[in-house]
Amino acid sequence: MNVQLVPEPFVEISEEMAEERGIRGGDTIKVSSIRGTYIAKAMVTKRIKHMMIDGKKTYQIGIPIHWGYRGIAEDEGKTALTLTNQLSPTVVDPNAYTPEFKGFLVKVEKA
Amino acid sequence: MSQAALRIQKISGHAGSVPGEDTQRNLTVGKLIDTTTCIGCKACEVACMEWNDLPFGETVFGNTYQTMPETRWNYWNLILFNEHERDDGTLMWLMRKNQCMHCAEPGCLAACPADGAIVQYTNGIVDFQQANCIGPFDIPKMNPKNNRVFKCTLCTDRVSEGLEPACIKSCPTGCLHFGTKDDMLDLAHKRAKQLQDHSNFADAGVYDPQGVGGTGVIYVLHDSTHPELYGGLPRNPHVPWTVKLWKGPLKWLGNVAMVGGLIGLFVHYLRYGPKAREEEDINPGGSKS
Repeated sequence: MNVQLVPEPFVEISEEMAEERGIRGGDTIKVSSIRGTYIAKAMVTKRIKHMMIDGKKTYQIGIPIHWGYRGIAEDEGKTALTLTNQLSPTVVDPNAYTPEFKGFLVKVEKA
Repeated sequence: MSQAALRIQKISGHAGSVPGEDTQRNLTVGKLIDTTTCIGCKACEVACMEWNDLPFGETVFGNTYQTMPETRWNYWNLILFNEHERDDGTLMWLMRKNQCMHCAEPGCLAACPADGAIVQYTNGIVDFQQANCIGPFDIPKMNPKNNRVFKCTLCTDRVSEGLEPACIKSCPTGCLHFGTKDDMLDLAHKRAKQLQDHSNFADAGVYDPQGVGGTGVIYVLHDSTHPELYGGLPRNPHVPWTVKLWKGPLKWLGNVAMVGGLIGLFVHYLRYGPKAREEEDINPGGSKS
């Protein structure tokens, strides 16, 4: 039933960024960081706006966590079987070992 | 399904009066959906699927959180998402729970030709009797395999036992409410007033279209002057005059024409007798002219 509600993993990107890179909603895109790559469909949304950091336009993208490896759709071969968790750094707080997962740099391009 | 607490008010395609009409005092039920507190968690979609044992249907990614473009025969309850930019530049992510509105004057009931397929109970719930259904219309969605129509029943099976509908029970933010229609209207207006007074939604209001005589399901909207932003909610829904004409005066006209035609036939026969035969027609073996 969960597969019915959200059938495939996706990446939320802002409309401006999508236009710059020629990505349309539903296109398969590749998100890569130093540690790995993640291939999923793009969700183009108005909800994300760009940020100006040090005078440069910087975008934020949204990826649902822990997705991609096993599941009904994945086992049927409908998705790319890449792991979201491969993108994030294995950095932890030295005292509590709390992972620092969610803020890191990635490159977004059409797959 | 227990019918003890439900009395039938109208029956589609039915000749004659409704059995048990007007014998008991009516109490209409209503469902209030407060779109301003909905978080789009889809718990109500899951609850409806689970309670009604709706079979699995394939969905595809559609560049939105919305599960599918519109309700299906096996998906009666759908949250519609809409990203809307207001005039002052702020962005709003509007979410509306879409399902049968249980109209006081159901257009589907008026148009349906099958006797007893669509039934409106005295408490306002519009329900289906699948066994009598012969075809499809709009929010009622047809299963192409057995040509039967399905839609939200407002959980008649739960309501008749004194429980609230499954979607209401599952909502985590408490944005769905259930009770008598009057109580729901009261709550809705209070909430709309609260929004008008304490937030910058000056146009907050209640959606209860009178074009169909009011609906069993009402909404509180941030912006009641633009209902179409909430996944295409019609501004002034009403039963089309063509359907009213077809099922009203035209029916009588048709009857008169048919009976009149038969009487005319009979009278003509009495006056003029059978068709007169002419000499040339009874020529055996001759060529026909």
